[in-house]
Amino acid sequence: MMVCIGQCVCHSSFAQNIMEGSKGAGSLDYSQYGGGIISFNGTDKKVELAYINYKFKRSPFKNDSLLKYSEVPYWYGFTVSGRAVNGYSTIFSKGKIYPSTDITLKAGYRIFGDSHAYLNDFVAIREKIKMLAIESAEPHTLPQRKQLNDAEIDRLTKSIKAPSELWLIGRAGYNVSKFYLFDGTRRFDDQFQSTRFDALFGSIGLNYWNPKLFNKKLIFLAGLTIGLRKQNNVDDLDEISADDVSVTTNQQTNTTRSIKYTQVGFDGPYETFTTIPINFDLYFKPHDLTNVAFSFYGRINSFNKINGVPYVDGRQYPTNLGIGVFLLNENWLANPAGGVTFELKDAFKTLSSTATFKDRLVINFVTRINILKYRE
Amino acid sequence: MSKIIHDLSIEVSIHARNLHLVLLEGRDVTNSKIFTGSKWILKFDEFTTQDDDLDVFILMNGDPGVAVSIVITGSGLSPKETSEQKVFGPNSFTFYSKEILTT
Repeated sequence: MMVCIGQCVCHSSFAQNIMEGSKGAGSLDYSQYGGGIISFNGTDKKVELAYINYKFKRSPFKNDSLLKYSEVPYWYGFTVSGRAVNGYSTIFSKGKIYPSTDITLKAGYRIFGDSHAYLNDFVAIREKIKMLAIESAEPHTLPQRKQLNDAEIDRLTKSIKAPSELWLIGRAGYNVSKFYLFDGTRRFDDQFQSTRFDALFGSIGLNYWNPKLFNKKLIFLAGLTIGLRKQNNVDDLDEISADDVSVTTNQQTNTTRSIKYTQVGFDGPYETFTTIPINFDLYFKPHDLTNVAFSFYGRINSFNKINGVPYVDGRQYPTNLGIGVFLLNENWLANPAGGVTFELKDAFKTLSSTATFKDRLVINFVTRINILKYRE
Repeated sequence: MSKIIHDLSIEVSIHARNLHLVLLEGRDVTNSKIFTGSKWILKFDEFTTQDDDLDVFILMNGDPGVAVSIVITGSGLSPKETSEQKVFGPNSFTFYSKEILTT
């Protein structure tokens, strides 16, 4: 069982991305505002700059010969991050950092959910509310009448059908990392091999928001994405460090000098593979609970080749499943403060039938450390 | 008696997903809303009231249970700044209705 501390829940001002998860996996991009942030992700040893520009597109349309406006929000942005491939132990004890840089462009466009354009009931109720509010604003309207109007407006507002929204989400990016691989079977001078890993990736998917799912008191956010990504398994290899010591002797004074050179590398069968990642997230909060939300998520990483060679058992679908509990700021799904997730790696034992439940269970304590925040 | 309010500003915090209806003195000014990326703003250099108060009405939606803040400022209002919070209902909607006295 692994326990990690400090995974970043979200990515920019408050939370432009709620639960990206480790290595950028995740399907939710719950943006509701623009701005930028520099944050630190403890698990991934990653510092990230993220920026989102959130806009509304307004288009006129006619409804019952009246000119109205359809309003469609959309956003676009980018993240640039740098992380250390190697672990904290070698970073601090050996002073070595093997960098990995990641640039991601992302965008979201609401494809369904404009109350004005689609919900005729809403338009009718809004017109009734408008008439009552106009009457209340009249100088000669009596206070008793205003009270009655307010009560009717309250009733009408509560009668509006909860709107849902469907968003199209896209991400694309580039990742480059450098590190050393260790192979003890090679001749001594070649045992540490400098390796560079370049990868393009992209994904597309849907996010669904519903403030009152199935007419129950539950606000619900769901995401589903599919993509293409080149990956490696360097995070699963054993990290080793070796000290090369050479001794020189001053012939005149007979003084010896030891020179130590430390090398950090990764030991084990290094693999690269192109995967089709399929991610889903269900993120919800009962209305009656304050500042607590829950999640259920899955990460499917389908691949059929390793190091360019077809996998012996054909295409594999290793799946990680997880549940999470999050504490919120302001009772707002878009503003989680932190939480804990329990993730079962390779939940259906696709890759290894011998790994125990304990070996596959990963517990992440998730927190957010914002270094700098910028709001538009 | 009508009054002229100068530099009238209505700011609604980012917790509102959208402002569906904004009335000032019964006049529909919804199309004057601007989303800055971090809040909703309506600004008017001058606004003339019908009587000795300013009637503000906003219909909006957001996450149920989340509080949205509304701040109204203007020269000629008493007080010059009014700040309040409203909580979105289970269907994500709420409304704000306020009469602010003029000086």
